[in-house]
Amino acid sequence: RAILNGKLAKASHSKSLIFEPQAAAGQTYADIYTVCREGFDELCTIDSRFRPFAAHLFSEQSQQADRLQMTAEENTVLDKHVESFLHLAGARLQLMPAIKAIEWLIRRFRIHEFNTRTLITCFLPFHTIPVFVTLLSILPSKLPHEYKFLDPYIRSLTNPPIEVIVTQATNHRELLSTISEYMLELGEKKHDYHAINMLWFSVMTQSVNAMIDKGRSGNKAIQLENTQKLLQQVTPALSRAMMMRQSWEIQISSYMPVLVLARKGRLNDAALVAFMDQLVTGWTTRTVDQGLLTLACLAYGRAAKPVPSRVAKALLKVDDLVGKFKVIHETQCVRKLANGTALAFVDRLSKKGNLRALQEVKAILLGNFLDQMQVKVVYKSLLLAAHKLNDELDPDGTIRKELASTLVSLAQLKDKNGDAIRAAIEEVDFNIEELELKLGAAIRPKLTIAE
Amino acid sequence: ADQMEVDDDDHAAVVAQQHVVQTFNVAPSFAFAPVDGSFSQLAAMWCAKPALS
Repeated sequence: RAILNGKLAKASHSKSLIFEPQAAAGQTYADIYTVCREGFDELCTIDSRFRPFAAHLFSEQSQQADRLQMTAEENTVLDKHVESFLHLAGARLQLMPAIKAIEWLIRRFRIHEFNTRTLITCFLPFHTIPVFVTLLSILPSKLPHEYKFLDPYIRSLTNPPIEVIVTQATNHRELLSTISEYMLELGEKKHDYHAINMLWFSVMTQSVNAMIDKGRSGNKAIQLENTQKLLQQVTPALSRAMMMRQSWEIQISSYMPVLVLARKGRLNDAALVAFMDQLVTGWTTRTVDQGLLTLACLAYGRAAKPVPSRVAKALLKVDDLVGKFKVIHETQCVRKLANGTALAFVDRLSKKGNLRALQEVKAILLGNFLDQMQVKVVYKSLLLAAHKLNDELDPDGTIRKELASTLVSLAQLKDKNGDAIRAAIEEVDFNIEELELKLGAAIRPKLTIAE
Repeated sequence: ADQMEVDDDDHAAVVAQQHVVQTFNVAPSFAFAPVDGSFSQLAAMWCAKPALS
């Protein structure tokens, strides 16, 4: 038994990311520490956030640490240190100092056995390079459930391609959850990095796309149920990612699966509105362009109605909103979003006397985003807003003056939109003369010419 | 105007899976260009305006 234990201990000691098993088996902890500590010190010169780990994981005393002799509490503390270190080191896995430092955690603390899930997830963005195969070669035979798909690659010692990871994430929610949770945790600590963000972006987008396709089979009721299941599965992660103001990469990465859901997921209005609300709550000046495009796709799936009030409030704060609409309009559909925005802004104008809302509505009408039916509806709603404005909302009459000038100038447009607006004036079923008197302006073009 | 409305609403987002895969598989995730570029590329597939006849 003692011989067997000795053999097992020797086999365990020979697991290494850097050294051949035979060489590793003969090394003392002092030898390994010297090499690995050098890597760790170099890592600290690259990124000072590694320094605190010198006090425990890489201390001189760590050479005597044996996690099998530690209490459960001590092991829990150790696990936290290991995970924090891997969270930071993930961004540097292409650098030898990071591999040397992780080598210490493998040799001394056996993290490949005790922290397998975190270690694999940390290395997963680098699944195409040789070090990933080396990692596979030292993993224990019993893998965490979501990583069992790596078994054939462990046996053949080959790199798993991205397609395999995507297929696994599409069909087994645990893998998608593990990658999402890992990336979101990094983001929340501001430790996220390009490789992990791109991996999540790629896997989440492709999985959502594939899951929608998969859910298309069966009758309508089954398809609706499949959509609900899909939303339940992915919405929590997407919501957190959209609100991740500290990481523009994570935010933009989350917009793409939302966009795919909006464009082909046949979401109901409640789901579309929920995504719209979360998107605008989280976006920043860095992500607003991509956010607006995603918003346009979400609005695309809705009926012709105002955007939700939280969305309208956020859109009012966007610099050069109509300029951004124009950029989207060059290649993509912004019409429903522009229409919903104009209607919501008219609402804010009549309820809150918001002058900026009026200016934006005018710019949207002049921006040629809307079809003539929409132009008519928006213009009619402006006339109604003019009716509603009173001294309470507009004590000095500035807004009414501006609104009157807007209504008049729009009614004098010489293009198709002008025709639509003049038709709208003819169609309104209230006293337009009374409104003109109230505003002190001749809205109807004929009267303007007569003057 | 009504024709435009119909065109827009009939425009289903059909994007071949292979195009999506190709976009992501041009490089391993760690070697990818900034997220913005991939976002624009993919958004162009899913949000392209319908061609009006």
